[in-house]
Amino acid sequence: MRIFFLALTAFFLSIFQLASAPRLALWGTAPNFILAGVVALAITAKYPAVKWLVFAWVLLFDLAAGGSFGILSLSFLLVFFLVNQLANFWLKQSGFWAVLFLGFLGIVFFHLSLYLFQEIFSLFSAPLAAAPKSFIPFLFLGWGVFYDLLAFLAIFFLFQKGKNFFSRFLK
Amino acid sequence: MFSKKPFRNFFLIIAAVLLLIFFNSRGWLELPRNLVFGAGRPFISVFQTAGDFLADNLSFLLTIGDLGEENQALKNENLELLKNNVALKEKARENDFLRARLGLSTEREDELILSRVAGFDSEIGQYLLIDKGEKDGVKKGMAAVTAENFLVGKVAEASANFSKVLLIFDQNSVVNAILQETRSGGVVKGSHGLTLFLEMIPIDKEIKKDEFVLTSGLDDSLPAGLILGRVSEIISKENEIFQRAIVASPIDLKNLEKVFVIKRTGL
Repeated sequence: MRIFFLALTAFFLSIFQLASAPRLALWGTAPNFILAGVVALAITAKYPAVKWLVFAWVLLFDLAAGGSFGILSLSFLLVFFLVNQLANFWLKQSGFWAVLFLGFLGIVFFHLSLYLFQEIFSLFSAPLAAAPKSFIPFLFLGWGVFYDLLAFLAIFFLFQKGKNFFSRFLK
Repeated sequence: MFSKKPFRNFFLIIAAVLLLIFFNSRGWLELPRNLVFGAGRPFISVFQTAGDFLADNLSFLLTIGDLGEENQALKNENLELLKNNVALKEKARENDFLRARLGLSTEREDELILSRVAGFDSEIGQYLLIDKGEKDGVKKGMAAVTAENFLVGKVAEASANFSKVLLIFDQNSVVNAILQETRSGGVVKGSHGLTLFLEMIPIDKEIKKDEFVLTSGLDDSLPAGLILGRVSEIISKENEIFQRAIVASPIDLKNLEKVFVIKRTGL
C-alpha cells in the first residue's frame, strides 16, 4: 500500500514535469522534478522495492518524454546508483549540508552524463532525434543546477515530511 | 538490490535498458509508448487546465496596474491594423483579378490539423508533445504553427496517437527564412531554447529593425510565409562575410495550448 502511494507520487511528478514544469522556466531552464525525485529517493531509499520503482519510473517517463529513448533512463539510473552508493557507504551523514552536497553531486553528474549520452547516441541516431548540444555555457549550466537543486530540496523535504507514512521504505 | 551485489544488479539493469533501446530502434516500443501517453493524457490535461487558470489569474493580478496604458496602446495598434487590413484586402482583390487575367493558378490551400499541446520536454532539446499522430495524418517534418500563423516547430517524431515537435528555439532547429521587406534570405537557428538568430545574411544586404522574418519555402515541408518573428537587433561586423540578427518571436510557449500542424496538399 505504501509503495503504491510512492508510485502515485512518482506518477504525478511525471505529469507535473511534462505539463507544468515549463511554466516555471526562467532563462530557458525549467526545473527537473524527476531528477529531484530520483536523487531524493537515492538518498532516502532503503527498501529494494523503491529501487525497482525508480527503474520503472524513469523508463516510463523516458517513453513519454521527447528525445531519443534511453538517454534519460541511463542518465537517471547512473545518478541513482552513484548517489545511492555514496549515501549508503561513504557519506552516511544525514545533516542538511551533507544532503545538499549529495544532491549537488547527483545533479551535476546527471547533466554531465546527459551530455555524454547525447554525444554517444548522436553517433547512431538521426540528428533531429538526438543531436548533441554544443556544450551548454557555464552560466546556463550553473543556473540549471541551482534550479534543479531547489527542486531537489523541495522534493526531499516532501519525502522527509512523509517519513512516518513511508517509514518502511525511507530512512 | 544494490546493497548486496550492487554492481552486478546495476549492470543487469543497464543491460535491460540497452535491450529496450534496441527494441525502440526497431519500433517495438510503439505500443507501450502509446499506452503510457494515452494513460497520462487525461491527467496532463487536468494539470494544464489548472496551470492555465492559475497563470491567467496571476498574470491579471501582476499586470493590473498597467492595464490602462496597455489598453490604449492596443487600441492604437488595432486602428493601425484595421487600416492595413483594408489596404491588404484591396490588394488581395486586385491580385486575384490579375491572376485570373493572366491565367495563373490560385494559391494552394493546405490542410490544418488542430492539436492540443499535451506536454513539454526541455531536457533533451526543446520538444512539444501534441495529441495528434500518424492516425490523424501527422508526419515527420510537418510544420506546427499557432492560430496566428507563427511557426512553432517541425514534427520530429510521429507516433500513432501523438507526436513530438522540435521547437524553433532548439539549437538543432534550422529553418530557411526570408526578410519580408528587404527580401534577403538566410537561415533561422534556435539558441539554447532562449532565442532565435537569423544567420547567413551577406554583409552587403540590408536588414531593417522590426521587419518580419518569414519562412522562405525552400524547405519542402514548410510552406512559405509562416512568421518566425521580428528583427530585434542586428549584429554586423565589418571584417565578416555574413551578418546576423536576433529575431524576437512572440510565441509564449508557457501558455501555448493548441497548435495547427500543416499537412501540405499535393506533397
